[in-house]
Amino acid sequence: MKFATFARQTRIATAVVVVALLLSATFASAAATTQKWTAGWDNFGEPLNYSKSKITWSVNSTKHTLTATFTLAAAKPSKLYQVGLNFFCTTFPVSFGQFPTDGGGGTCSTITRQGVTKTVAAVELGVVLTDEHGNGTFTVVIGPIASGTYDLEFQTRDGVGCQLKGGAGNGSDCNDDFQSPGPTFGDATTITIP
Amino acid sequence: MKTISMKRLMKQLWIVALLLSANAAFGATTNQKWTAGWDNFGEPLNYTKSKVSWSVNATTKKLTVTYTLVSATPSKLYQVDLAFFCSTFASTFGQFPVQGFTSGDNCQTVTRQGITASAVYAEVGVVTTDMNGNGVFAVSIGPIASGTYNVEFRALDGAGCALTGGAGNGSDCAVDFQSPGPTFGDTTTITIP
Repeated sequence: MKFATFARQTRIATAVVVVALLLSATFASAAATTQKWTAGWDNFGEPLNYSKSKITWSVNSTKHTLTATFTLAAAKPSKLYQVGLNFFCTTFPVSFGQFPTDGGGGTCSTITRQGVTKTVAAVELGVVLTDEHGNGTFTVVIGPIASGTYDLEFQTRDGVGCQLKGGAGNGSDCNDDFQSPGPTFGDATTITIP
Repeated sequence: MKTISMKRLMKQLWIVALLLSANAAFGATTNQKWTAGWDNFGEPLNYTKSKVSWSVNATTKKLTVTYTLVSATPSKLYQVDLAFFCSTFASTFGQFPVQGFTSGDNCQTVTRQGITASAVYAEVGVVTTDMNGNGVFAVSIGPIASGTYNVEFRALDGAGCALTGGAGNGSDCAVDFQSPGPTFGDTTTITIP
């Protein structure tokens, strides 16, 4: 085989490998899903620009991680909002990725909100701090997560310290200001970890 | 010998110039360690793995900061901020209000670790630790007024200091970790062009 032919075949093989790697990376990090906030399920008067506020999430099937970005626009300025996940379940593990389940997991608790009764487990992930305009964002990578299908609502609480140390404790700050997808408690997003 | 046309050479030079320009605009990232204090010296932390990373984008005049805590107290909120050492200061730093003035734009005099200095603070977020005591928070601040800022990064013993929705202005305002430290008033100089 001539050197020129060998060189051309090597270049083609390299190109094929690069394309395969790119395709693999694309499938490993699935496309991001963006969804809106709605009010409640406890408070319905907290200010928010619902058009500009959102949650963006994606699953990395190779790493078994869930990345979520919580964005609030035109909420109350200089306010701390604790964000997390509310799972609809009968039983739930002691943790979701690296984050402990409120109350230690086990049998899910029954609660009623907006006239709807569900059994739930919650996980606290972090805090959105708003700036002088009421805007703030927080990104978290959760995982590795046990394989499974999870029905959940994203939630934003009316302060920080619910089930966490260093905040306002387990009082009115545990109330839910914003839910997603909503608009009613129990409306769920399904997230599958392969 | 293969020759390169003038047009192709100019195109390649233009690409190199663009890449150099982008690199300069984003600035290099600086990593620095946490030290204990100003107020609390017993809060757990892996000081080897924990860090503060920051960089300045000269074009957008933004400061990006990532606060990383490793092996701190699990499931705990640590409010993070910047302390500016100053005699007077503006009412905002980028999009964040500044607090700690005595009156008007005068910086407040405080004494910690035997050192007296004047400072004000911009609260920029919270690190929430997981069940292993690990947590990360990243924030982009700006546009920031051009100038040279002498700062310490801080992690407070809770969340709610000078903010709504947290523990209020009590013991959570105490400083668990400072950077660069190890002494109150040891500063990092950040220049916004």
